[in-house]
Amino acid sequence: MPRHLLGEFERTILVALIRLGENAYGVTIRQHLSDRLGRDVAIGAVYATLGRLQDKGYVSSSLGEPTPARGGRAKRFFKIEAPGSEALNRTEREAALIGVVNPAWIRS
Amino acid sequence: MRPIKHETDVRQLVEDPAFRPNFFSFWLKQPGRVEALREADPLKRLLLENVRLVGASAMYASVLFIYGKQMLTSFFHRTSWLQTRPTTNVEAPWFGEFLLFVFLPKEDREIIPADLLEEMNEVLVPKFGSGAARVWYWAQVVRSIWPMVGRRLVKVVSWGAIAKAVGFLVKRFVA
Repeated sequence: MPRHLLGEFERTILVALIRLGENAYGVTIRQHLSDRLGRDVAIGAVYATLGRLQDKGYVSSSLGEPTPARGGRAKRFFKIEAPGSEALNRTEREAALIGVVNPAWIRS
Repeated sequence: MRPIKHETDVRQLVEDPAFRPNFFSFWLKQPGRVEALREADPLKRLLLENVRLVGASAMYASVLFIYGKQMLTSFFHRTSWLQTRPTTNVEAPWFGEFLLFVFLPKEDREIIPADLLEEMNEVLVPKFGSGAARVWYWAQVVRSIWPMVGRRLVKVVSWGAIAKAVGFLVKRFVA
């Protein structure tokens, strides 16, 4: 398996998918990211990243029922898959390792 | 490229190694074509003397016509227009929806405008009013287009490279 590490935004999106569970779709993901990152995130950026993660097989999506509040259009629900969880774990582990490196070792 | 005024110039230009050939120049290279150019009526001659400009314009115009027509047709026959109209307070700006429709990939064309409409009516309108909600919608449209265009550009560039390779092979083995 390739040792692909996730970017900051990809990591935050995968964490959001885990937290939101069954209710993870565009609006809720965007609101979760805005709360977590403390800034307004464009919906296009969220979908571009989700599309990239889907191309890699880290997330999957399914269409929900159309609702009148959405102008008769369906929601797309996202779910994290096993390779996505593995990539997230790997990235977190690498980040934790970097975090415990003593700066004195680098200087010497 | 300098303008061509005489048949000798055309021949010089076509035989110049620095000249990047196209399909019109291949036509011109055939025996008797430059002589035929001299006999051509002024309009034909004008077209032939500006082969690159005419070729490029025809290509862009045809792409714009085919793609634009397809876009407009599919936009005005969206499935959502045939379904229930929204029971929300504020309608999304139609031109903003159209911009999203043009720039978004096919699988996101229905989903992203619906997400924006839902959030606008359920969160923004009750909190800030319809005017501010519409401004927010437009800001989302403008900010959402760039990441999507970036994703599409990668695909276009890779298709461009394939087209260039095919063009090279055609020129090499057919012409």
